[in-house]
Amino acid sequence: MNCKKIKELILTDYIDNEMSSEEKIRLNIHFARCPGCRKFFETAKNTVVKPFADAKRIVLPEFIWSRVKESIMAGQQKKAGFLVGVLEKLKPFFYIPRPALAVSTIMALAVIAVLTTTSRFNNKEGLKTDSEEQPEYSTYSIEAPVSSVLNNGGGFGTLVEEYFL
Amino acid sequence: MRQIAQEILIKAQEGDLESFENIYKETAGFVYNVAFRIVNNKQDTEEVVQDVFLNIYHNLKSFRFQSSFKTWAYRITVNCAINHSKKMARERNRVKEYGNNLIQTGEISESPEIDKLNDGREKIISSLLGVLNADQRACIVLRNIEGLSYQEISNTLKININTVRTRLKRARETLLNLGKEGLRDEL
Repeated sequence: MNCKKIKELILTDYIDNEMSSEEKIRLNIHFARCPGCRKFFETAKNTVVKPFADAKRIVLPEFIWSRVKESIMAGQQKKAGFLVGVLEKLKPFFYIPRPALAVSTIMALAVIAVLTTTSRFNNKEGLKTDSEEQPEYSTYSIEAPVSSVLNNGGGFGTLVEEYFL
Repeated sequence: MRQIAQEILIKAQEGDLESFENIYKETAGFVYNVAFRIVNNKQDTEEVVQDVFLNIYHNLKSFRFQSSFKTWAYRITVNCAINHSKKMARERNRVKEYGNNLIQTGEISESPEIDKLNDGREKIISSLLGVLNADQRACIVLRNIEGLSYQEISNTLKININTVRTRLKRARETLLNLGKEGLRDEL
């Protein structure tokens, strides 16, 4: 392994402890023989690892949660508002009755329906009676002419009958 | 971050805000720190953290418990922070304020919170991270500050493990060159 490859490994797997112990031993043997690579490792450790090791944890400002919460709630309201807006825009295309008007309309329609049904029912009875009586009347007319009724000792016993007959 | 109970995650998936607040309390610390180190600016970090939690809230239903919640939260945080950093870098380039000189880039002077800390170490960290691009910075933050393994970084960023190695190597080469230029002594 040449020094160029060793330096690449120093900057990555070796410095980050990502290599196997066997590979690490091989590199350590190389360092013992190569002052250039050893120096490179020391410089790399001090320049690219050590400064970050002391990085402070920054304290989170408390107001961030309020802002996040506000944004979430504003989003939900906007969503709900959007639905209401869509319904409002669609309203002119649909007839949506108000409750009082709807109830009175239904009542009026119910009354009309009841009246119509009743009168139809009555008319139907009348028609039924007429149509049932009609044949009987016809039969009676055919079978019993007026003269026979009168000659059969019938008559109504009025003075007019006596005068003319 | 402690392990978040599955029932809390399920309740939050159903839209329970109280459960989501518990998730926030458990994760906000590392989300804030990771975002801060990648963005390298406090005001922008606050914006990024809000974006991260809104993202988590809206995408929680798609979390299928196949990876750990922490890895998932790391991924969202790093992605939001990288996107924000790239956007800011593009804007800086547009107004031609982004010079080659580190001091002139504003990476140090535009971080008043670092000045407030009046801590030399924090200034060094900020300046070192400031010379890296957003992808390299994310790898350095996850490895050197958060202590994730290469495999964990690979899972978090959804990139090949060799890409993790390459990004770390290039980032460290840049930092070594910076050290050679003696910039740290100037700070």
